[in-house]
Amino acid sequence: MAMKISTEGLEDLSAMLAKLGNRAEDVASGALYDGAGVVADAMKRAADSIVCGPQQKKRPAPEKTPKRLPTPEEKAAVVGKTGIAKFHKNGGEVDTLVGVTGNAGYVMIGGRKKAVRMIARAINSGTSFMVKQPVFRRAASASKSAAQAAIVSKAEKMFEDIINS
Amino acid sequence: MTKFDQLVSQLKNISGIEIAEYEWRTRPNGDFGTVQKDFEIDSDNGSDGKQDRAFEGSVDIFTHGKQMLTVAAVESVLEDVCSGSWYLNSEQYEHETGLIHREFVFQLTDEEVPDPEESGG
Repeated sequence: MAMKISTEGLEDLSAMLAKLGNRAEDVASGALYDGAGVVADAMKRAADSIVCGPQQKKRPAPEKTPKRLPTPEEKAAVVGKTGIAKFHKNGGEVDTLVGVTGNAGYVMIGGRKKAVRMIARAINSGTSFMVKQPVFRRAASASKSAAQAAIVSKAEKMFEDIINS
Repeated sequence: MTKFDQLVSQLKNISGIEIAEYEWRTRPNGDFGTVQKDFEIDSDNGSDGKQDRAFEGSVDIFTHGKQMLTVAAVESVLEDVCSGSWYLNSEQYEHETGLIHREFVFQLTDEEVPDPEESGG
């Protein structure tokens, strides 16, 4: 992503870079934290908006019934596990995942162990027997520009603080 | 017809798979799929209201087995109608049904395109 940093002139810029040194990673993770927060808020709202249906007592044959909705238990598991994954730092590069991430784990629903991530995926993409509700894809798409703006403004502010310190 | 209509009609013409707009009432026995608009992603404010609206949608195909020819046909329709703005969002095997589910996500504007049936006479 292109990032524009406002500075007054070349002298400012070289001073800024000299001062930044090994604190570049701190700036990157601080900025990413703000951006990821914006996306995570949108994802939380998205998870809350999932429509769920009644709990089914017996699993019907998938090809004979209309598509089902996620059960309240499935929705609760997905809502509870929506968030930001650990930040992964690698030599000046910082990245993370937002949504129902790899460490979401499993839940027991109706005596069966289900991966929360797979439930979220089945809701977001749909299956041949579950209604598709692309809430996470929509949230990611809608929050993208707000997240980018949050990252840029935070990075600018952190650069300024470092230069003025 | 809009670009979305063009996409739907071209997908329905693919042999070896039956693709419906939005949802099946009675699911076919063979390979099947659906195509739908999911949500609006962008638009401009014009003097007559909204202009240049763009939508994100998806094509879901469910196949018995890999069916690479069908997949290639769907991909070529997407490439033809949406140019580069589509991707394979997920591919997964359903244990319960034995089907392979592929989800393609595309982005389209609502611009009008000539109807091949009308213009071709």
